[in-house]
Parts: sequence; C-alpha cells; structure tokens
Amino acid sequence: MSTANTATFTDYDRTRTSFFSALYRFQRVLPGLLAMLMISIFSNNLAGAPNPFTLENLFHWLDGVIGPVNHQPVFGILNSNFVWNPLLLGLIIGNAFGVPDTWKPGLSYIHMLMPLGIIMLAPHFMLWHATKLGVVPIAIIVASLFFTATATLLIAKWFKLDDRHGSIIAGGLSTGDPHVCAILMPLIKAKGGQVVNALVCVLVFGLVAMMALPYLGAWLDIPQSCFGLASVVGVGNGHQALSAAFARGYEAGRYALWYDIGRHVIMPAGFIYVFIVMFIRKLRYRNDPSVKATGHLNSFPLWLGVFIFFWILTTLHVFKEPAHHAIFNMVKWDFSLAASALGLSLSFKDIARPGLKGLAVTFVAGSLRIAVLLAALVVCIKTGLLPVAP
Amino acid sequence: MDRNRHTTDESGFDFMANSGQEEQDRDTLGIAFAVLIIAVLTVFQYWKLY
Amino acid sequence: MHKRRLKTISLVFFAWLTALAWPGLARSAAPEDLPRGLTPAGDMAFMPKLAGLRNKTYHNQYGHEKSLSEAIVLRGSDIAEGRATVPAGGLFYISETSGDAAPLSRDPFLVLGEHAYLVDLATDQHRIQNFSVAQGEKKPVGDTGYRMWFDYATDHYEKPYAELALVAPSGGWPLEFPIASEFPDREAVLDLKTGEGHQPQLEKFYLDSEYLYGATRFKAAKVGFEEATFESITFPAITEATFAMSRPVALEVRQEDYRLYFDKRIYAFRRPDGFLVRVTDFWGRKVFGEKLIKPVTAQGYKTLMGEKDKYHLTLPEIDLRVEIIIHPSWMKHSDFVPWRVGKAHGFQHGKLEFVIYDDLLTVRHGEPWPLDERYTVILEPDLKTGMLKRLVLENAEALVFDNQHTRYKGPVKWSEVWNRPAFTVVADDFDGDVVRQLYVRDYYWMRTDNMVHWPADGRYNIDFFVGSSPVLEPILEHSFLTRLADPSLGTVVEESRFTSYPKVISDASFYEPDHTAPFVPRLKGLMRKLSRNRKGERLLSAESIFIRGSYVDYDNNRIVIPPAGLCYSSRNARNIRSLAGEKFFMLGKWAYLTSFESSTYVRKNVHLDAWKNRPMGDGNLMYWQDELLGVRNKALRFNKSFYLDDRPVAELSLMKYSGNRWGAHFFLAQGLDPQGGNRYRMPELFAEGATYIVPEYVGANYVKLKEFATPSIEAISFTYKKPKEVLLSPGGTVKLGGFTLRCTTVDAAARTVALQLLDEHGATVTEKVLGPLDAATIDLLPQYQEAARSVQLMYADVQAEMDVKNPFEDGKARLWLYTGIQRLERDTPFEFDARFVVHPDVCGHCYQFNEILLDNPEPIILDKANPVYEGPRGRDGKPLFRIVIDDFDGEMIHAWHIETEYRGKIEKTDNLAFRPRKNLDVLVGVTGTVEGFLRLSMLPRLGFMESWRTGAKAPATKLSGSVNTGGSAHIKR
Repeated sequence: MSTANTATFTDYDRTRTSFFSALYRFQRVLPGLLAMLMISIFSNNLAGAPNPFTLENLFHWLDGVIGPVNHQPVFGILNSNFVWNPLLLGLIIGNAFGVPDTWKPGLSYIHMLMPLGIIMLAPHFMLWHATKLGVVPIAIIVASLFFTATATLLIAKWFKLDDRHGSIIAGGLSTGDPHVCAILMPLIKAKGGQVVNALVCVLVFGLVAMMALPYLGAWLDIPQSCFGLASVVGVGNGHQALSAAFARGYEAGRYALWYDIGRHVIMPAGFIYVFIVMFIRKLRYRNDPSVKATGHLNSFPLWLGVFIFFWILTTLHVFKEPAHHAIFNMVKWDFSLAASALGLSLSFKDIARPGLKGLAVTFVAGSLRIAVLLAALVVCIKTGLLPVAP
Repeated sequence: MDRNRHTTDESGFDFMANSGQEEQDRDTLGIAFAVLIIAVLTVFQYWKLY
Repeated sequence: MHKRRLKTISLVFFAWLTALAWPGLARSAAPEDLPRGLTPAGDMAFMPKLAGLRNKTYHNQYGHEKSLSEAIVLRGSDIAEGRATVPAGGLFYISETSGDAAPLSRDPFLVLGEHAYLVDLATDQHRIQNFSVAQGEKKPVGDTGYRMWFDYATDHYEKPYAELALVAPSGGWPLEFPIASEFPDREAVLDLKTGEGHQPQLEKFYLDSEYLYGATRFKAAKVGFEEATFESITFPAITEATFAMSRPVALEVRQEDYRLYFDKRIYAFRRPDGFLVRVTDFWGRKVFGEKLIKPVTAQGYKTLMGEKDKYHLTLPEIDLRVEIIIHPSWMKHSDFVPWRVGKAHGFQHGKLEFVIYDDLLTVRHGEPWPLDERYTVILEPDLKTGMLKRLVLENAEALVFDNQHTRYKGPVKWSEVWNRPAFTVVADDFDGDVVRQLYVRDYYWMRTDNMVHWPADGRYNIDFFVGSSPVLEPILEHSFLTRLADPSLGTVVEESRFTSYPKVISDASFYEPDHTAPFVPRLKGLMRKLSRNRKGERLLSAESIFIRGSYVDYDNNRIVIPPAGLCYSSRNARNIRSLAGEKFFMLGKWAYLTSFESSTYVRKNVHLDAWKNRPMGDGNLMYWQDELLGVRNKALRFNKSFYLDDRPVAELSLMKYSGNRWGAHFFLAQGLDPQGGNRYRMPELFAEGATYIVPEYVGANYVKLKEFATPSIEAISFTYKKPKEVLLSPGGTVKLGGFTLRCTTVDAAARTVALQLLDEHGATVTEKVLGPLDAATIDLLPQYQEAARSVQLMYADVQAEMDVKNPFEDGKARLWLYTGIQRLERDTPFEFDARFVVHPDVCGHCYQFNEILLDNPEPIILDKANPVYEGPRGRDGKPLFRIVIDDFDGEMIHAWHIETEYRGKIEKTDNLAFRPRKNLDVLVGVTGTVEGFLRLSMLPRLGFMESWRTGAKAPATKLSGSVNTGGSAHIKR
C-alpha cells in the first residue's frame, strides 16, 4: 500500500494542518468505511437502509421459531441489539477472514464515532420522565446505581482485577444497561477484549439473576408491582428484567415496563460516576502501575462535557419527541459503524484473555446488590414507603 | 514486536490506538458532528420541517 | 338502536356444547351439529400477529384498494379427561378481502400465505322459504352452513321490530338488519307532506317487511317479540372459484400475429366483435385452443354467469388463462408498478394487452381442498355483491389432541417452491380438563406465544383466533366488552406516537375518542344499576364519561380539551319513555322522566358529497361533507359509493352528536329493477322509524336528496322525586307539590278523567280532561307526543298522568303524580354548573329521549399551573369527577387519572397514561355510547392486550401499522 508508510503516529503530528486531518484522505479511509457500512447494514435495520437481510431480522425470525420465554424474545434476553449485532458480525468476519490492511485507516474512525454517538445519546435521557414513579422508587433506583458501581469497583480491587475491566463491569452492572460497557470504553481507555468480556460477564450474571429472582420474589412474597421494580434494578438488561418480571406474573411484567424508565434516564449518571471515580483515582495514583483505567487522559474530556451539556438541555425539554427519535436513529447508525470496527479489531483470544475473574466479580457484586435491594424492598413494603399497586 | 493483525497494518498503523493530538482531533470532530446533527435535527423540527 | 347487545356468551356456549354431544362428527353431520356460524368460546385467545398470516393492502387492475387478511380459528373445542376434541368445521383458515373479489378485475386474494388472484367464480343463489327463528337463537338456514341470528326485538307503539343477522359459516356477518311486519313500508313516506325545519312528530313509524341488500333479500312474514318468520330468504352462493396462484404476465397484443409466452404462441386475430385468440405450441403447429374473446373493461355486468365466458380463453389442460385488457400495467393505482401516476407514459395509446394467468387452482364449495383432503373448502360470498368475500378451509373430520397427539397440521399450501402445511396447531400438557400449552406455528416455523395465558391455571378449551382478520369483529360481538373489561387481562394502554403535528380539532362535536384511548369499565361514583318501570320491564341505567379530541399543545406546554370534548353521558339500555315512570341517572342521582318535546327536523334539496377526503392523510378526519340536521343533532355522511350492475349505490350513515353512529349504514340505489334482469336490489329510498331519506339522484360521488328527516329532541322534563301513585274518585283531592289536585269526573266508559289543579287559596289554576284513553290513543302510546300529552296534566313543576295500563279501578282513576319537575332545554347551560351545556339526545327511530349529554362549550386547558379540572357539579356543588394530571412534561402525559368521591371516599382510576400519551381521551363506564366507540376499535384494543411480544417495543413497531387493524380504519364511520 503506497500511502501506508505515512500513517504513523509521529507522522500525524507532522502532517496535521487542522483537526480535519484526523479524517485522513478520502481514498485512504474509503475501504474501511465501506467495510463498516456493509457490516452495519447487514447487522441492523437502520433508518434509510431498508435491507431485509440483517442479523437483526435473522434473530427476530429465530425468536419466532424458538418461541418466547416468559413472553420475551430469546435473542432479546441474550441482549441482541444495535451495538452487539454489528460487533458480532465484525468479530466473525475479522476472525474468519482477517482484517485487510486497506480497511484499517477507515476503521480508525471508531475513535471519532464513539464520542459522536455518546453525545447524540443525550436526548434519550429525560430525567423528568422518571418523576411519575414517585420518590421512593426513584431513591431505590438511584441508590442501587451508586451502591452497585461503588461495590463493584471495590470488589474488583479486592479480586485484583484489571481496573479497566472492573470499571467496565461496574458501569454495565450498575446501570443495568450493557451499552454502558461500550460507552465507557473510550473514557476508561479499556481494551476491546475487556469490554466484550465485561459485557459477557454482565449478561451471564443477568441470565442467572433472571432465573433466580422470581423464586426469591415469591419466597419473600414481594407484591407483583414491586417485583417489577426489583427486576428492573436487580436484573436490568432490558428483556432480561422483563423476562424475570413476567416469570413472576403479568402485573410484575407490566410494572417492570413502568419502572424501567427510572433506571433508563439515570443511566448517564452511572457511567459518568464510574469515570470520575476512576479518573480521580488515576490522578491521585498516577505512578501506580496497577492504575490503568482512564489511561493517558490528563484532563476531563471535553466531549463528555458536551454530553453533559446536552443532557442538561434534554432535561430542560429542548428536544421534543420527533427530534429525539430522529437523533436516536443517527445514534443507531453511529454505534453500528463503531461497533463493526470494534468487532473487527478483536480476536477471540482478546476476549478470553481477561479470564473468568471478571465473572466472579460480577457475580459477587450482582448478588450483593440483589441481597441489599430485596432487603430494602421488603423494608419499604413493610413500612408502607413503597406503594403497592392493587 | 508482535503485531496485532486485526488492528495494525504493515506500516505499524494501529487503528485502535488513540492518543495525543490525533485523539484530540478525533474528539473535536466527534463533538463537531454531534453538535451539528443534533442542532440540525432539533432546529428543523422547531421549524416544523418534519 | 334501542337495546344494547351485551349478551352473555352462555347461549353460544350451549349451542356448541350441544353440537359436541354428538359423536362422530363428519362431513355429513346435520347443520345444527356443525359449529358453522358459531363463535369460539368467550375466553378464547386472540393473537393478532403471526408472520405467516399476511395482512396487506393491494390494488386490483382498476386501482381499487383491497385489504386482505388471513386468520386461523379454532372453535367448539372441549377438553375432558386429558383429551381435547374439535368437531368437524372447528378448525379453520380464513382469507378475507375488504370488499370482494370478482372475476375479470385481477382482484388479489391471499390463499394460505400466497398472494394469488381470483380469476373466475361460479355463482348461484340460496332460496329458503318459510323460515322461523326464535329470539336469541342462531338457527341453521337449511343446509347452507349459514345461521340466522335473531339478536333482539324491541317495540314501537308496543308493536315489535327486530334486528337480525345472517351469519356466514366463518361467523362473519356484514350488518344487523332491522325488519318488521306490522308497520307501513318505506314507500309510504312518499305520502308525507311536510315543510322544512322543525316539523311536528310523524305519527307513523316506518319499517319495511323486506330488507334489501344487493344480492340478498329478506322478506318477513311475521316478526314478533319472540319469533320471526320469513316468507323467503334469498342470498348468494359460490360454487366454484379459480385462483391464479402467481402473478399474471401482461404482453402487448400484436394484431394478426403472435406473442411468445414461454414455449407457447398466443395469436390475436381481429374480428368485428373482438379478437380470435389462439394458443399454440412453440412452433405454431399444435393448437391448444382458440376462442373469440372481447377485451375486458370495468363494467360489472360482465361478471354475470351468462356473460363472463365472452372475456377469457381458459385452457385448464395447459394451465393457462388469457384475457385481453386495456393496458393494465400502467393503470392508476395499479400495484403492477411500484409508483403510481395519474396518466402514465404511453397510456394515451390505449394499448391492448394479453393478461396471461397460470398456476390456476380451482376449488369447489363443500369439496376437499385440492392439496389436502383433510380440509373442506367453503366459499363465502359477499352478501351484497355475491362475489367472493372469504375463502374458508375447515377440518373435515373431528380432531383429538392429547399428550400423545399434540400437533395437527393445517392444510397444505400451494407454493412456488415447496407445498407444505400452512400451519401446525400444537396443544400440549393436558392435565385432566385443562390444557397448559397451546400455540400455532406457521409455515415459516415461527410460532405464537402460548395461548394459555396462565399456564398454572390452564384453559378448559383450546379455542383461539390468530391473525388480524376483520371477521373477528362480528365473531366477538358477544364477548368483546367482557373481554375488554376483564381486569385479569390488564388495562393496557398503548403508547402514543408523538409527532410535530398533533391532531388538533377546534370542536369535538360528532367526533369519537381516540382509538387508543384507555377504557375504564368501572369507576365507583359512576352509576350502573337495574331498575324496573311501571310495566315491570327491567331497565339498565348507566353513566359514563368520555373525552374526545383532546391533544397536547406542546408549543405552549399545555393540554387542550376542545369544546364538546369532555362529555358526561347517561343513558339506559334502551330509550327512556314517558308514561312509564322510567328513570335514568343524572349526575349520580335517579331522575324520572316526565315528558319530552321532540320534533322532526326536515331538510329538502340537500347536496351531499361523498366523504372522500381525509385531507391530512394522517387519519386526522375532517367532516366538512357532513350535512347537519339541526344544530348539534345529527349529521348525514356519505361514506362511500360502489356499483352494482353498473348502478351507483350510495352508502350513507347518520352520525350522532356523541360521535356514535346511528344504526347500520344504509344503502340507496336507483333503478335496480328486479324485472330488468338485475342480480341486485337495493332500496330506492330509506325509511327506518322516523328517519327517512328520499333521494332525487344517487351518483358515485354525489347524492341529491329530495327530502331528509330525522327526529330532534328540544327538551325533556324530569324530576328527582319518585312519582306517587294515587286512586282518586270523583271529588277526591290530593296534594300535588304546592297545589291541590282535584278529580272532578271519572268516566270509565269514555275513558276520560277530568282534573282540576287548585292553588293554596283554592283557586283553579288549570284544569284538563285527560284522555280519552281509547284504542286510537293507545295505538300511539307511549311514543307519540300528542297522544302522551293527552293523558297528562302539566302545570308549573307538577304533573299528573293517567296510568296507561290500568287507568280505572272501582270508579276511581289511577293517577301518577310528579312534583319538583325541571325542564332541560337542549343546548342551554346546566343549571348547577354553567361551565357545561345540557344536551338531551334523541332516538332516531322514535323521538324518545335516548341519552343525556353534558359537555363543555369552551375549551378546557390543563397545564402545570392548572393540573386539575372538575367535572360537572351537581346540586350539592360537588363535582361528579375530577380530571387530575399527575405528571406532564409539556409534551407527554406520563400520569393522570380521574377521581370521584363516592361515599366520602376518593376513588381513583389507575394511571391512564401507563405509557406516555399525547391526549387525555378516555372512556369511563359502559353505556351504549361507549360500547359504540369500543366496537370501532375492538380489534386493536383486544390485540394490544395479548401481543406481549411487542410490549416493550416502540409504538411504531406495534400492531397499529397493520393495514386492517390500524384503529379499525377499515370500518367506515
């Protein structure tokens, strides 16, 4: 490749003219962009790309063939979504056929796409949408988020888990949203393998929790509406929480849908919290070789500030519904492209490398959360703090 | 050095590497596009174009 | 309509239990033993969506839109000792089209998942003489597979008229028709001489003994309250249908030459009266067939059995059918091309083209499905046109499911690739009398959710309905309200779709609530009670609240309920009559009707445009074509038109102020003379009760009405005080409010009573001779206002009336006394709360008081500063209910409820925005009005409840997008 030798790190600083230089030359990035585009449009049903042959549709068909589990689609429970579908496809292509060198300059756009996508996520989190839940459920959701994040980070430290890996697990587990694993990647400066490994940890724990929680709920005689809250907070991960709730009963499932908005809108607080904790820790223990999270970051990333700014605008209701949906469609595009690059960058070995320690951390932290949550719920129900739907 | 065949090309360009000025520029681009997209979509809705 | 049809399902249950009692049900079973025409159990599962059941809108070659749908139904099953039995005809597949499918128009039709085209039909007629049916019965009509359902009978002047429906084997019927044998026929309205505007009440009640509906005709001999006897029933039958299973090929005709169609030549030789079409082999040596055919055009008469052979060359032995058509591929709205243009390129040449169909599949009514002997073909015609409406494939032999035999395959479908069973029914985990696992898998191997919603409890039958076919609506007529009100299914409210353009209406009169509006069947504080009138008839009185036309004005962070948007409605199960002490609820209190003031509102020379335009294209309906009858009374709407034997037929409906439709749609067509060899008949004018329409001209998009009249009610008088019964002998007196009532004479022979009303000083304020209550008067009671008034003495706030049934006893007069009477005049502010306007509504048949509505004349604005609005206040100054907005962010309503105060306790509904909503439209309580609204949104409502698989998805991905169920858009209002 004739232009490849100019593309070293030091070369960039020398040839840079403006920040647009990070886009490189069009011919150079085109193959990689096309690869991302193709993987994306064969993974997800994206706005403006009406391709019926997508992984998303394949999973949907398989869901129909397998049949619902507790009224939830199986691939939904396995958390198939617009991030993990292209990642999976990228992973398969990269491992089966390798990644041609010509694609690599284009694939580097992932670093632009990550902040771009995360900022565009901001209109998704309208805090006031949760106010309908009432004070106590909100308090439980918020407390659970910070408790789980803190506990996971501490347990990870105790288990001597790589702090980047631990941070990603903390983010994913505390928010009950596996997307956070990806969102934290550029902030924590985690390796792709760690991110996917952490995701697997969070999902595997979610599956176990999903199956166990209905029994615990029945054993503790938690009313169905409150059990909806328990599933959302204790299991999370979208369909996993719904499946746990529907396993308990129809009303529980309905209330899981109702409470989920509370968990959803404060999701950014989860990843911002994990990042800030790890960032401060890094600044404090700069010379400690075991402190790897947030990598070489020396200042608070500007784009995270921009995200927070838009989050505030969202809270002020600047983004109305149609715009919110339009922006979210762009997020889907953005994350599809980024995730295909991420998938291509990984070998199966990278994912296996962090080992099973992360899984142990997840199980310990997740179980602790469930224990504390159920105890808190029982107390709140007994004292009448938590309203029980008739 | 062992080259990661998935991410690094023959010349040593690693597309998953992200640091220094290049990282800042990529962040800047991300911010610029994000602000642009959000602004356009929001303003167009305010103007009732969709 | 008078009587509401909230029927128990037990009757149907009984009918099929009887059917089940017969062993060895087979094709030869007696009609009453087959479940044809019967519905699945009331607790059957309804799954609206399964990938293999298609639900699509296509266009035929003339651009007519046809909404096609498929469904799989199981009915009549029973489980005992771990075995489920399904009688023959219990499991069936339905394919339905929105209009009908006729030959020569390339009408699309779904056949077991394949997009096929109907190419030919053989039609016939059923004629049944001297048929009787008892009230409530669904009686087999001969061995046709149809049943006649006598829904109910009600009365006018104490004479009966009835509503019946002819139920097809699948359970579908197009409408309930009114019929009577004791009233003047519709033509008699031509003798009326009335002026315009408000006119006196009509004395006669018009209802024909003949109901005409295109190809169907019912002629009643005697319609009673308990039994209806028909002199004759004539309705269409289809004996044979041919489908082309693949898309036709269109080739331009080359005159005196041939076109190659794969390995065949198709020649066209011009003749004076058409083309001689000849089909040969590739070399032109072997002639497979030739025939003189004429080009097909849109005239309907060409589908006549004696005509249609002139328009096609069909060669079954080489699986080919050729028609000649004028340039079909470029027709406006054709789905041959993805785009549609007004006048396509090249259209002006008027080219002739062959349309060549192959993959022909012919099915015969009552015979096995050609691909699978286990299923019998039923061809159901549209009762109006006689053309194909539904294809039904039903199991020929009884089926048994148990833990060893868990699956039964559906009929084998035709496929380009692989003929395979179209579906599999799986019933498993039988346990005594219950089943715990039931689902259907389609030919894509995709399955439904478990149709036993509570597997721990199990189900006592395996009845189900899978798919979104509109035939479900008549099928569910018996049980939809119970199903909607069943709290165990949860009150699921669909999330709204938020757009930049909310539906905004300036006045909600004549509009109905949003189809996704939450329905609250019961709220304490809204009354629902049974009472008896003087005659001992049971009357169900109920109150309801509904909000219609509300929207979020997100630019101004507020919620708007437009004028007439917030309605309180109270009505009885039938109209409320005077002279019977009938009562109704008025803001939670019993009120007794004392009298009413009605008139006939007449308009002459009315132009009525077809209601074609939905200008926003977003379902944001506008009703400017409606013609109003009086102010806030009723509106006449020209819903659609169609042709029968090339005559335009207008389909009209009468909308009530409440947004509900009055009765069934009615049809008008001129010149369909039975002597002229027409297949069809439609009435030339409409008369039902006191509503009549005399058209001057009926066109395809315009109807000119010579005269058009319907009742209008101006005022009612009522009292909250219970009427008192007294027996007065001549000279006797009784206290009547602030007055004294004195009976001067009682003349039992002349059937009169003379009364005097005296004030506290003994001075006569009024006197009247009530009666004579003779046969002529009784014949007009209770509905005829003047007759009713003749036996009532009214003065100030008191009233005395004769007992109509037993007016005299031992020389004494039996009287009913009312005090504290108030008059409610239409469109005046409500006496205790001027924020609301009173609106008594009238029955369209009979001038009687039907419903009391209170609604807001001014818009109601709710926002963060004013989150509560009080409903109408009664005498005690307390509101009947409160609307409370709990959580509103300026765009989405996240939480709101309605609360009442009942016996000192605040009663709240659930959150009515369980999922974010963009309006406050709601239906609370069950009255006929609410029932009408629910009926129009029945399918999506029931569907949302059970489509759990889409529960977590965004609204855009839900069932609403489906063509046949999107807010029941197929039901014309």
